[in-house]
Amino acid sequence: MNPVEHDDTRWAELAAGYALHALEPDEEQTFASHLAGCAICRATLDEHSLVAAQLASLVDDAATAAPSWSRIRPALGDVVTLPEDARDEVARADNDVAVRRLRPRHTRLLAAAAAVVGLVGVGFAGWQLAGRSDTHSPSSAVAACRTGEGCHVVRLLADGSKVEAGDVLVQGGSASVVPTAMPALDSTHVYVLWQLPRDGRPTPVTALQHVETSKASRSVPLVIPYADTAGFAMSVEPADQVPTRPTKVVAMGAAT
Amino acid sequence: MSPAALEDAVLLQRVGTGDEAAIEALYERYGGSCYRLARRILDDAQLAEDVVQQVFLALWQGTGYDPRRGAVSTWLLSMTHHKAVDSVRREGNRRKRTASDQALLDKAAAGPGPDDEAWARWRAERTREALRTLPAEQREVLLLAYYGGYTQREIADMTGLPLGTVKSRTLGAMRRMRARLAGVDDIDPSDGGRR
Repeated sequence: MNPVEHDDTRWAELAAGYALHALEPDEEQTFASHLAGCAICRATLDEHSLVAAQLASLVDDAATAAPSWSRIRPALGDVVTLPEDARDEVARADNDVAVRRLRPRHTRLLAAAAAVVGLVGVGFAGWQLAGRSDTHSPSSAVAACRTGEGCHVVRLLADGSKVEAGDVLVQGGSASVVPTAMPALDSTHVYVLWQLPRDGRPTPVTALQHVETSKASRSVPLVIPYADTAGFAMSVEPADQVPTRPTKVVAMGAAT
Repeated sequence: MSPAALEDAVLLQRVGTGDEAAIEALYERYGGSCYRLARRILDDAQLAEDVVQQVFLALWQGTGYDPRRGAVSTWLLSMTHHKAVDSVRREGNRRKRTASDQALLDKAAAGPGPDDEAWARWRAERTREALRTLPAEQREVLLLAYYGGYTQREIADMTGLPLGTVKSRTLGAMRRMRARLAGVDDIDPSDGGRR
């Protein structure tokens, strides 16, 4: 049954009013209490909430500039980016053998990253066949980064070969990916870029589904400062779940 | 799950570990939309900023968002709307609030539009068209509630309609809107065009 067609008119009307925040306080309380035990009302409310969010799109005119993050940030109070205890907790994740093998030095990192590939036991013949030689012409974004101040290019090589899969461009604490040989994925999978810290577990940075050769992806903030980064890895992951660690590493590269 | 939604999920996961860069990235994506919504409801830049602060603080503290209930953008906009309406009621500036159906529609659609974002423009066009095709009496109660911040009882008092009629018209409006907008949140033609 379509939840929006829920035949209990009273609850359906309350759900609509609730999504619009247009109920009186007593009605709101009544519906909120009922909601906890009514799956169909929950589903109806989700549908109505989507409509409400779409109504918001009408006021989304670009001419009204939003405050900068620095004005919003103080509300969060004192925070520390990636606190050590959080890292430690994540690093204790079960079965993350590859993560435990990561060490600060590049050589050890790359060995550990290779172990990730070994753990998943996946061959990448198809990937490598689809790759191109590294004699391609670099995209303008890569070329600009190579000559730009404070910009770093990390070349991602398909596992076990010298075939370039793409470049990670890092500047100002953010990163983007310029694919050079990343085959298109079906709709059920995405590429995920991982940041490999000198000390800690791989951390997802961004997900890419529609890759376009030589075109830079949108720049996203790094999780860990680049100075503390040993390298990057690219993996293929199911699109319908959030990865907690790389499962199919297809390329990697050491930070420069 | 779309790439944008997956990226949001990754960012949320990072927010959960206390990663400030991740919540800043979410703000860069959705803070503008939240602020503009609050600003339109409140007609006050400072109050709107306060509302957005509260919304992102709630996200930071992990209070309220349930990934099973939908996209983080939906939740952020819902929270923003909720808090903006609370604020406009708390401030007691009802006299300033717009009550005319057409004025509310104009208010909602004012501005040059998100010309630089194909996805946002497409979504807004679909929403605007869906609103225009609603029966006038349904559109009126919907706009008064969403953009005006009025409760259904207040709308009944303003319009002289029985409360039950306001409720049934609101439900009818929401159902028609959802039917007209089916798929809007399932398709991302620009793939990453969102902020």
